[in-house]
Amino acid sequence: MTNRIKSAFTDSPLRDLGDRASTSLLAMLGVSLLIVGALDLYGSDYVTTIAIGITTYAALGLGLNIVMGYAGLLDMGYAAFFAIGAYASAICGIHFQLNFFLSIPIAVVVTGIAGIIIGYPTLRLRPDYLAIVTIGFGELIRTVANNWDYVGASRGLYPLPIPSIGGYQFMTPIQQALLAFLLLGVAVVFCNRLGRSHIGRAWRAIRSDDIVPESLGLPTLRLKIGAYIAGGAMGALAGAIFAARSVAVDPTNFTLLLSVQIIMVVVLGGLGSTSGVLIAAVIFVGLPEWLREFQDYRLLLFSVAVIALVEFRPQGMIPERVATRIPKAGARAARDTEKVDVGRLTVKEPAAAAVDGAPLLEVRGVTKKFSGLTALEDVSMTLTAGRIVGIIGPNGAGKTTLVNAITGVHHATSGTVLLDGVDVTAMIAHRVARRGVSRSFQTARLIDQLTVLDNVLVADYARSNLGLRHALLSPRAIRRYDAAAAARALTVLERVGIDQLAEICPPELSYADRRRVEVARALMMSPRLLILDEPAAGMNPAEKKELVVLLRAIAAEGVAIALIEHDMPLVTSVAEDVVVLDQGRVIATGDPHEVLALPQVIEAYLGAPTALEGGTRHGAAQR
Amino acid sequence: MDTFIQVVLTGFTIGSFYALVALGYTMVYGIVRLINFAHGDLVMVGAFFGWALLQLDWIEGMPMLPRLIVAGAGAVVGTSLLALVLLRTLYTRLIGRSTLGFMLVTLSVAFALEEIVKLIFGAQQKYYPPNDLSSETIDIGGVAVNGMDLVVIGLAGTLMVGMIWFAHRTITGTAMRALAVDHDAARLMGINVSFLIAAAFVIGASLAAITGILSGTYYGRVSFDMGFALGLKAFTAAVIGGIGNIGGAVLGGLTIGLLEAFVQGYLAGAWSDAVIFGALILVLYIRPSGILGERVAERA
Amino acid sequence: MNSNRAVRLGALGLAVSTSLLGLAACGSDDAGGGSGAIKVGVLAPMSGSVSADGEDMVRASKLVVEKVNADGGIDGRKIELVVADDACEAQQGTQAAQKLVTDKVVAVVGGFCSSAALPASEVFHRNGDLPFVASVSSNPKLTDAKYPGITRYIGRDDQEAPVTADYVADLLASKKVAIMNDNTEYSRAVAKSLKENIEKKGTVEIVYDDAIQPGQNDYRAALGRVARDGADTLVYTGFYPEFGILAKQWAQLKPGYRLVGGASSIDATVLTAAPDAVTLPDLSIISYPTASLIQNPQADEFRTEYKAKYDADPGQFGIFQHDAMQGLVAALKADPKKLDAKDLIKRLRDVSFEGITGDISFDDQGDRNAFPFLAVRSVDGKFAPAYSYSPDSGWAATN
Repeated sequence: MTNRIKSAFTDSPLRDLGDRASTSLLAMLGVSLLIVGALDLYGSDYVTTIAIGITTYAALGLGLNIVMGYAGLLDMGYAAFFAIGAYASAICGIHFQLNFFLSIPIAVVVTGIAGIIIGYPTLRLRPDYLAIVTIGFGELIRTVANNWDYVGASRGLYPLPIPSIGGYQFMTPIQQALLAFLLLGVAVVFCNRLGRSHIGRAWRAIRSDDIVPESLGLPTLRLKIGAYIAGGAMGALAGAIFAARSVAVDPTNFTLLLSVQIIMVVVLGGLGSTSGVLIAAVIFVGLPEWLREFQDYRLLLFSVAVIALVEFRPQGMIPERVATRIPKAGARAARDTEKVDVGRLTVKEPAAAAVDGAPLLEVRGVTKKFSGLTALEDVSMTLTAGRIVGIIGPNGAGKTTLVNAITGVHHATSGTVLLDGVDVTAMIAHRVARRGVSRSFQTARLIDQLTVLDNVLVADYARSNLGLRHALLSPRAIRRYDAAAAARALTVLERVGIDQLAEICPPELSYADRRRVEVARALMMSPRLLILDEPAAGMNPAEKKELVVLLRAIAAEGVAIALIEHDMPLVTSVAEDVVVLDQGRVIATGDPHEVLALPQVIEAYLGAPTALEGGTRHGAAQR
Repeated sequence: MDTFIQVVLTGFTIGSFYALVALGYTMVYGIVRLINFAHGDLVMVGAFFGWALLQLDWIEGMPMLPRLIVAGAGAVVGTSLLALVLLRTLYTRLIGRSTLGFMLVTLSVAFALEEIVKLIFGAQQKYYPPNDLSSETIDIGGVAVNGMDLVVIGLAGTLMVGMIWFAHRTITGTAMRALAVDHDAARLMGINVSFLIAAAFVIGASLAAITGILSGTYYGRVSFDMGFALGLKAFTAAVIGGIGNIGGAVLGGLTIGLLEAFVQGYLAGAWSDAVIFGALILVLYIRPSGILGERVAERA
Repeated sequence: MNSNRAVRLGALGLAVSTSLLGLAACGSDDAGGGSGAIKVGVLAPMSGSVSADGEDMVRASKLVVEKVNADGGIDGRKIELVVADDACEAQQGTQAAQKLVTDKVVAVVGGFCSSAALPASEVFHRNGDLPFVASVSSNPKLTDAKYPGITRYIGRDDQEAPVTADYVADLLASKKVAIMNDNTEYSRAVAKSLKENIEKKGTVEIVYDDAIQPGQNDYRAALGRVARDGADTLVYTGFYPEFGILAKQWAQLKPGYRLVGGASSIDATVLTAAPDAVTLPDLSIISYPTASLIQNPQADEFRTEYKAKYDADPGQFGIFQHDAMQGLVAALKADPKKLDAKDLIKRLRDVSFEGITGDISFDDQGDRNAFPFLAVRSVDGKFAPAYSYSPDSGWAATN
């Protein structure tokens, strides 16, 4: 095929079709058919029934894996989704004589609505509240099912119509296995795609905390609700299949114990690991069947196994592997010529820097109080595109609080923050970030489970306009996006001098290199305003020099930089202006050399063990 | 028989049990900001420690009260030791590192404890020896008051007042409250965090063990699965009252107890668990910080 | 391109599987015929919370089978028991049933928990109505499905209700009745049916109909409400662990109404849990004729043999398994040459004999024609029958 034909093909709707019925999906369905074929040839109905039991746990495990493995949310009432799916499908069959396959989308939609009702208020709160609320939710659903006559109350619904498609009935164990394995195969593919997409990467980023992802422009609440609902949808699917093949649903099928068992399957397999979950489901259902004596000790042994794994091998039996690959030389070349093919994805470039003169950032009389304690009082400052301002002051002066107030982590009690003339005072952090503000943190906060490259790629989430649709249906679009973004990430890493570390995970990095990753991550967002919180901490003099060069180069491109630093020589050498904070108030602003000579500034620093000049500690030594 | 007062009395008794467990929850949560799912099962462990001690020969001859006190002391010591061992071997390395990991481990510990007790003592309910106080019923103005009602409410009340005093009037208690407000600041102020965590676990475990013994004596029966649901409702109580707040735990416990009694006595007992968890979801919608709690940091 | 390979692989799999599925539909089963031991399945909960009852069922089955085998078996062929654990749960029940089908047993005797027995019965039905002799599962749905393969030796939950209604309305002459269930399927079903049966009488008013939540421990608020609603009798249709504590609190409150426990409220532990309550004349419990209560020569023989072989007293429900196994043996012996499902299920329905649990014969749905009940009270620290019920003469005091 010549390149021309190839590209014509890649751009046609035909390609899209090929993409949707992709190789992985066909392969997975093939595997499903082979398993069912093998069961039919070599297995008895008994073995087949166990295999179907495994598919139920596997499907539930895959669904919960999205919630708990990818997004790190503890859902203790996952059985509720299973129940809603099973009941919704059963109601469709019994009360509306609807075909089983038509009832599946209904079950999924109903579950999604329930997920929003429960997820929205809860996920705004502390992450562990979700655990307790979901337990409550699970019990609530079970109690309703147990007392509501429409769904048969405690008797349940029975017997359900046998699923059939075009007259073919899924009735015998092997036929049911065919149905269960085919649907599981589809589920495996979609879960994998989701996990490997940019959304999956974003979920992994919100696993440990909210503040960093928000600062990178990730809408954490939406991502969490998305994970919760996506997981719920899988649960609903599993529920519908379960109902169809048991020919009955009743409230005893959906207990807290089931939710806990699914949690065990996911943890045993490995949080975030699709293959791990599948194998764990086989063990969880199969082992007690194989060793009948084991049955009585099942819960105890699996509990102990979970404890041991979390303590000593938190990644589970089969750790997840999600590192984005470094693009091959061809893509690198493309990157060098700035002709990265980004396909139909349009990258949202922040608007070009404002014309010289008009300030990019304007902080006007910002005050921030924490339960009576005033952390910032009437702070004002401005910052123009292309300039570097140093924000200095002793420990506890309110520097980080000021950054938090600007970036939307905290909202000012009074006063306003204007970004390019737009009031961002009360704006949510990720929206502020999307307006071109990026920051690093005082203590480098990287995502330990992701490679350096993926850490940087997370920051690109806001720029991609790929959605859930692409993640599920167009793996090729995701791959192309990944390749392009990875190429760009490598450029950024190269710029801070650590492109050779792209495939390493943060725990193996030196302190200075962690700082550099943070800077790279901030740069990946192509910011208009870059706020760096002590970027030089832990760097040696040579590295500091490189940093100075880098900062100047970035500023020269029209980016405004706010630099929080204790290293005064660094500040004086790179900053055009400084703002000095003490006890939440601005005590001086202006040219670095002049300001640092002011008596009130020296006074403020006398208490702090930080050097004003030359890195010595004379201020502290005098006391 | 005056049903209303009877229902209130019942509510206060049930609520006292919830409050005692909620106190343990709220103290640990206040410090480590993590849900200890195994806390409810410490009630069960305490109840079984007590039951096993009451079966011993040398204790059997004693009169009921000293017998209970000896068994209770043994249960408190045993349960506290268990909590300490669990803390040191399993929890410490997860605290501050992995919220999900901590919750998963405590959840598994809860189930492991239940399964172990089931293996040792069997799945059948065990019965505490009958005592005079719980069989004697006095009629006060048409309300049947059981001697044990007074003991439970009295003892629970004393412990609650004691805990509030402890939190506000002792150095350890004040340090715990400081830690609950700001972890980093408290650490900087030289507070020994790991000591306080251990102290909170031991106090929580002791309260749980006392709850277990009281429940066994009062209701007469204990079983391996008595703890988890109790723990969940107690945690709900702590959240409703305002997590991390000692007074809130008491208030939340009594609220849940009264709610449960009123649903049973006036509405529909079939729905009582649903009502309680529904109330929790409602409280989190309207006032996420609970009745007495400070604002929970809302983000996003 | 590798997608082509995948497509081909998938197509191959599809082809293989569909052809196999076609074959599977024509698969034959030749259970029963031939020589060698006759395999009989036992479906019982061998693990989980009621595993003691499962063990009891297996023991009772063995007593019958060993006697038959010692006497020369069925037309010279020995009976071999195949035990399958249903763990009292739907999923395990389905798997256990599949196992028995795969093992080609001629019939299955057992079923303790309805939650496992119902899905198992579905499996048996789909496998050519493999004979299922249900021993202890009392859920009406089991025989209401009208599968020809099922005969049941214990009473139905909805038999308990009319008998209890007679007890409350006729024998106790109650005027205002409260009905309390424990929110389980069984308990609610009995409560519902009891309400209908009492209402049919026209002389009794239902003043309270609600559930308690097992595990909550304190039911005084509910007991107080029953008193406020003016009931003269409270019927509890749930299981014995909560009945024990309910009875205890009822005795403490002295609310002035009778307490009647349903057929699942009886257990020796109630005597321990509520020692003050069980001695009160206002407390009685409806009961199936269980092992410790039944008084007839067969029962005495069973208790003696059981004690001799296992050095333990039989559980409460093993006698139903014992009678069910004897019924199967009778059906097998009736025509030992024809053991296929089609013939055997007819003979199982025609069985008629006097078992431990009374006169045994079946209606066209596979349920017992007449099923006796008892009402018990505590006498000298043990439960003993105070009244007995027979379908012909209704309730009468026992001597």
